[in-house]
Amino acid sequence: MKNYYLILIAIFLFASCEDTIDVNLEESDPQIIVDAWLDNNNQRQEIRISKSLPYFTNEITPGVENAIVIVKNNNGNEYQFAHEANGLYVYDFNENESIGAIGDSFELNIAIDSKNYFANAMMNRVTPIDSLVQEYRDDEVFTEDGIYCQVFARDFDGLGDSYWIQSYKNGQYLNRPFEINIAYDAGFDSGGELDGFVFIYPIRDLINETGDDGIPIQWEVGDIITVEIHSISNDAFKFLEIMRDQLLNSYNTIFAEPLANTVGNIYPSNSEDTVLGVFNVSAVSSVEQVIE
Amino acid sequence: MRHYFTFLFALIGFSMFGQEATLNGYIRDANSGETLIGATAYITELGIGATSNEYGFYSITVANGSSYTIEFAYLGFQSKVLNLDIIDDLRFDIELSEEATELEEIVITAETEDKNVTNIEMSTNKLDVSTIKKMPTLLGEVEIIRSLQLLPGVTTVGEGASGFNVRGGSIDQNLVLLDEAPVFNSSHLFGFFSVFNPDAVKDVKLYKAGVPSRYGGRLASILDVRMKEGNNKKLEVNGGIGFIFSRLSIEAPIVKDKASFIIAARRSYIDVLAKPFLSDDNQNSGLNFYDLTFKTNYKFSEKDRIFLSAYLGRDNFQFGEQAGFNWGNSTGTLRWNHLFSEKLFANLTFYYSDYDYQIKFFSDPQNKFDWNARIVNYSLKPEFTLYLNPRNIIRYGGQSIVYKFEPGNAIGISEGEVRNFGLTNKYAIESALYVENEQDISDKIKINYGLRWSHFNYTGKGEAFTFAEATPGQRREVLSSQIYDQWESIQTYSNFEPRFAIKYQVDATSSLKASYNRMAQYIQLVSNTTASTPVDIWTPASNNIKPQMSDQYALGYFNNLKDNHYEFSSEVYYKKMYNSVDYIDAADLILNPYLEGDLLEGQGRAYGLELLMKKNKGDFTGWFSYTLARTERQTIGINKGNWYPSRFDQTHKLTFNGFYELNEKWSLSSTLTVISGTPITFPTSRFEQQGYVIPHNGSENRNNVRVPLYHRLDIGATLKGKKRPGKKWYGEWVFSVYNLYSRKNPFAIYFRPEESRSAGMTAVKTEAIRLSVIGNFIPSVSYNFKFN
Repeated sequence: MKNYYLILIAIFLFASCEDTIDVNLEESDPQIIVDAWLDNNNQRQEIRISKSLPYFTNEITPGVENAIVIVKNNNGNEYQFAHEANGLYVYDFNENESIGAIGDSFELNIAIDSKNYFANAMMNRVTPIDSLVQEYRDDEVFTEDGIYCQVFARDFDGLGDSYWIQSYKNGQYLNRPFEINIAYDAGFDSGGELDGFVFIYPIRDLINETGDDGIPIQWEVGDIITVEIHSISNDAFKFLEIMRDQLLNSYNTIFAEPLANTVGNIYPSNSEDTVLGVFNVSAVSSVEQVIE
Repeated sequence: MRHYFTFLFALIGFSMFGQEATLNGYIRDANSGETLIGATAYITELGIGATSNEYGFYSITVANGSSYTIEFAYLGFQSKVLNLDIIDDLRFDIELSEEATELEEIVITAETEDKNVTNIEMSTNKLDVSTIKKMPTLLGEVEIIRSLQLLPGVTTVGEGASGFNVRGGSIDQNLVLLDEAPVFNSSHLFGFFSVFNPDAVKDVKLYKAGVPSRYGGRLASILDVRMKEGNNKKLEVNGGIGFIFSRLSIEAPIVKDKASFIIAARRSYIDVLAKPFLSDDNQNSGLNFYDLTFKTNYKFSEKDRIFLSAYLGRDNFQFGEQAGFNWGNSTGTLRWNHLFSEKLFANLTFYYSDYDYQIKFFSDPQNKFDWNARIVNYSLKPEFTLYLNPRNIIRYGGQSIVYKFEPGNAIGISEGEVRNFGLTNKYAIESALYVENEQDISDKIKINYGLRWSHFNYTGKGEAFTFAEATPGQRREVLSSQIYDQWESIQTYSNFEPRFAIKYQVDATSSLKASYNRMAQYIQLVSNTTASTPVDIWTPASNNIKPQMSDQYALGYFNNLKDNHYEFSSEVYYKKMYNSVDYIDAADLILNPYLEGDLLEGQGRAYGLELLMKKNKGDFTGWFSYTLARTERQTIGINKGNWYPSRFDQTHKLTFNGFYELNEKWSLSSTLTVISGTPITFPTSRFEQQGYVIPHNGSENRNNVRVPLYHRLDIGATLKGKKRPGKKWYGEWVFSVYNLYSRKNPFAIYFRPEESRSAGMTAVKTEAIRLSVIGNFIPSVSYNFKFN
């Protein structure tokens, strides 16, 4: 991500040289996947448990349907998630109720047949959104003229706050690889030490929709933009950082990095299994605007 | 430092002998006055000879007062045979003229015909610029580094990648020297074109093994590029117009036979051509690259000559007001040749070299980001060559290099708030002393043995960190740090690097050679991408990074057939590399003060067989080369700690280069390259997280699959103008087709979701994408001219 413009140059020079081919891959045994990103926002909280597939199997990973899934809050509350379908486990909170508060710590326990897995997380503080600014931009290389947005928020003092900034266009979650927007303090990664700063520019800007070439797309008058900042753990940040690098790696053309595996935070307690995925509990701040 | 010079001056005192006379002088090109490197002076009666050095100087010592027949020779030039009475010492400078043959023959190497067999050097390749100019080109540009890649043992990860890999070494393990100054990034436009202007280059030599002790500092190879001095007889203008560059060089005497200069410039003009088609808003956008090469020399006595050379090159990308990006090298070299005596040739070099890049985002004073990084070094390098007697040539000298690393100066302004998140500079001093002797033991056996002692001092001012132990492959956290003053030593290393080479002359046309060398490398390029990027930084060995070391053994058989019409060589080598640098997954390599905590230490090995068959004479010339090689690495924390093939491991590599003189007007050329696919890391499985489909490598095997075979055919034709005596203008048209049959050679294969926006619980299709940097045939035309 640090080489954002290098990626754009590389795409500009080499994108036309790509085509799709068939390749044969090594295979490995299926691994358990836990997709457990909870927050204090929505009433309905979901955890999905499934098993990995060979890379080119174009199916949804098959759900694990017989798991017992419990989340414990350190204040003593315990929530057992119920299986809905195809490995999706849910817990519906009542209105005015949520899984916990900032500062609470949580433990996830999963039992599948005779095997147990666990993970820990804390709901970290989340910075409030100061403003969401709409602005008109002129035609430039890599920018068409039109309305674009920026989100302003200031990182807390103290190293190590990390955030996942998610945005929606007319209710649709913007989840292209180029739209993954995470911040460590106010910068791209832990190396920059941008503590207590206003989010730096590309982070403020990555809330805009992009095309599949990474170039931002302008908003139309009447569109609704929603921006959420989720506090995440450093484990979750590291996971998303590698995930984003891997998903964008294919756009790095000749500057691709070697394939790196994401590192999750869910561990077995009575086996040698490796579990893929993350358990994270976020606090969320959000803003919504109509483009005018 | 004091001991260093005492040592050197003590060695100078050697040259005291009696009852002998020394014939010495310079060998030059009669037409331009350029000194000839590697020309020979051969005494027929004694069967001994001498070869001119990098400055054209030769020296040969015989019994006093005799008369001898001496032949001065250089391939492609008319030999001169003279009878000389060598009484006392005789200074004899000589000029040789180019052969005036009916058909202009192509000279593959400008060397004495059987030098391949009789010389002690092995694993070296010398490419003549006139040969390089005959090869088919990409977009009409004569390319020195791409030409090297046609030699056995020299590879690249693919088109567009900068640099080159020699016998399993990474690109930063090549010491690329331009008139002795190191060039830290040898490419324009990533890796498509090299920074060397062919009109200003005189000699290109690559050492892959058997590196003499006068060179050091890198593990894999030395690429020694020497610039022309400039015609000191008359004005000469060379130039060319191609698709990418226009070039112009001017060389002329300042004082005839005493001082001359050459100035050469190239500039790309895609931006100039594109300008009328850009909208007003984009007038500030563009892409260009240029380089400027300058050299001058002055002979202020028969014993003293100075040379001043300079290079400046830059690549610029500008995206309107939004972002700008530029990088480039600059170098300067000042040299002083001095003859202490007929037998003792000395050269003192001072150089400066710098590589830097700048990135700017936005020009709004309230919101901008400026970032630059740099490596600067200064060096002083005295060298002495003592022509003790015809059987011993002793070279000794030393070098000191002062480095300043600026790994990143970065200032961000966000909504008017200024934040400096630059990194502190790093400093180091690298020094070396060496001595070597090239000795004829007998008519059949010749050896070159030497020792290099190198020393590295990583100093302040700066901050040195101590890191905690971590699970292999994971980031190490900082335990403590310490501040050091300017030039206060943080960590020192020193190494003895023995070098040895031997030649056994089997018969008049064949020889066996063997060599061993140890090399130490104290600075490295931090890069974990397939092709190195221009923003990669150099970092010194430190309290956390050990110097890289290598041991290489090579064995070769050299044979010339049919009166030197054919030249055959075969070599095997084995190389072991220690303290190689690797990276944890998702390492932060840029603007990270704790970078060293993201580095891993590993080892490497490379071995292979290289065959080369050349045809040097006749209308049809060329070479055929084949390499069978393996390059592997082992790093705890990668590939479960097992050996794995490196990203540029290429099992088979076959090249064919042919030149054919059709008639007086036309000459043809072609290049065929066939290379095994490089290995790449593929995922085994996929998993989902918040709607994203993530590739996962369940086996953790690094570089587990190979991309398909690479093969390519290029052709070229040159239409030559008429050369007539008295005619001042000479022009030629060069036509080329690169990748004639439009092969889509894969640079790499990637994986990604087919629809890059995934929606909820629907199955996301994933696909493999082949990147072919050049997937079509590329025709080109260029015009070259010469005026003198």
